[in-house]
Amino acid sequence: MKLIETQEQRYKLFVNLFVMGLSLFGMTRREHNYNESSVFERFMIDSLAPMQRSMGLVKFEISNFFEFYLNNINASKENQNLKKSISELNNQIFSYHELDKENTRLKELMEFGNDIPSRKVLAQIVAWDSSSDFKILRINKGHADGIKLQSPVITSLGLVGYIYRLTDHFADILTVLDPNNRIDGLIARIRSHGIIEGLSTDRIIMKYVARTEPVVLDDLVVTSGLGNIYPKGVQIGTVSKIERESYGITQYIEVTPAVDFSKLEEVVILVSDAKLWKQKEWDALDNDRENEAGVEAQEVILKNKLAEAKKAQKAKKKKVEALIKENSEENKVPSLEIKKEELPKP
Amino acid sequence: MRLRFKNIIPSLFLTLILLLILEIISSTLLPVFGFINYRIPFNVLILLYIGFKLETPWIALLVLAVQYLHSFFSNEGWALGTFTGTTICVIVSYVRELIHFNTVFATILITQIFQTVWFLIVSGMIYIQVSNSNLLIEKFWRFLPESLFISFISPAFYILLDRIWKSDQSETFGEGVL
Repeated sequence: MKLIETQEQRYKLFVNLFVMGLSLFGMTRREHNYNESSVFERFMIDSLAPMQRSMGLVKFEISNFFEFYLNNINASKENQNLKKSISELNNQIFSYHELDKENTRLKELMEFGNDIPSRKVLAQIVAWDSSSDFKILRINKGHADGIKLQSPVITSLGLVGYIYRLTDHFADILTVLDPNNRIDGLIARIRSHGIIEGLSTDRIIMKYVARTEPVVLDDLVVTSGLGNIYPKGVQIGTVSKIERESYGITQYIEVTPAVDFSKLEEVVILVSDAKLWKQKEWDALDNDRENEAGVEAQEVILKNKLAEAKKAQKAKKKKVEALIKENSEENKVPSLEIKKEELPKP
Repeated sequence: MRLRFKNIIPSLFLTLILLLILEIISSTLLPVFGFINYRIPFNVLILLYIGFKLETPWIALLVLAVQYLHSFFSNEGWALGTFTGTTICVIVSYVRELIHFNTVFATILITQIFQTVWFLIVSGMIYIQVSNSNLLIEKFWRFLPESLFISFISPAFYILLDRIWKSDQSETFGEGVL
């Protein structure tokens, strides 16, 4: 039996192989730390995200419909009017309560992390990842609001994640729940390091903690500050499960996140200029290997420039000294001698 | 259904608009109503339809287009789904003689079977990347309700897609296997 009999089948085989090869290449080239989206991708996300945001309003309208229309449909006119006024008042009270709650939340958010030297940008959650395998949140702030890639994201309760993808007006957060997000964590009580990885919506795991470490339930897990993304000491969660076998060198630890992601509405993004320097350091390290040959040449050039600058500085110094001498001779003021007799008597 | 390249573009455009609406609903309304652990993978349903019903050499490019749009809403990216979708389409093209959508039950069953194949391929690829079996167990428990929901809505959804692709709804497979 021949696999390829017609021209169409030949085309199909070629296209299939090409696309599968391309997707395998795409998978291997994928950067898990952050996603630098193209201009087209940024344009698409900026265009689509407002639609996602508007869905929140749809939910509000639907709940209003069920609450205020369906419940009152069989009531009398008088009752309807009364209920309407009551519901309006209730609505107002509800909105006041919501405002009060929001104020409290925002106050807590803004007060949290005062010791962390960063600018704070407040943002609202617009959407979640459309695949349940990945835990990404989309927020309504982007590059235009000063957010940078890999900026840490927190709430008053603890760590949420970091900025993974960025457009002008929206950004995606790779949460601590995502298996691609790996954080260097620290068990606060015993100062043991481990790697935090996402597992599910309400659980994360802490890997590579030595079996001999005396971890107990409800131990607090915080960020260690290693890894150039998160500041040190931000709460990640508490230990909720420990499996310690009689063999092996590590123990299995599950952590319950400090942040309740099912009720997450607002987050704070910590934007720090230090990131820029860190990025420069990384770039310098990356370019170091490539530019090893060029470095020596650059050193020679820089040394030459330095010598020239020193010479010029010396010459300037001499000129300045000469000028000062000239000026001091020209502007010499005769010293005043006052005799004792000329002084007024008290 | 055999398709010419010029006929593909308008139907693909409409399919992508449909996917866009469904992705927005899936990524916003479900979490807002408290379903943060589950999503409905409409992209998988569309790709299965493409694999089952369309016969064109450009099928892999259609898969790529659908997955590329999906990648705007997910960290999954386009590559993993494109690879899996194309593999499924190749498998379907060789077993097409065995597949018939005569009844609603058959449609649900076939969709569920190929969703399981999808799950196995994606799980294998994820396991290669993260080597964490707990993650796959978690994924399996999410896959069960999600895939069942998708399978149950598949008959109605395929009718809608039949209209978009102007496919004959009474058409059964078994002829003209590529």
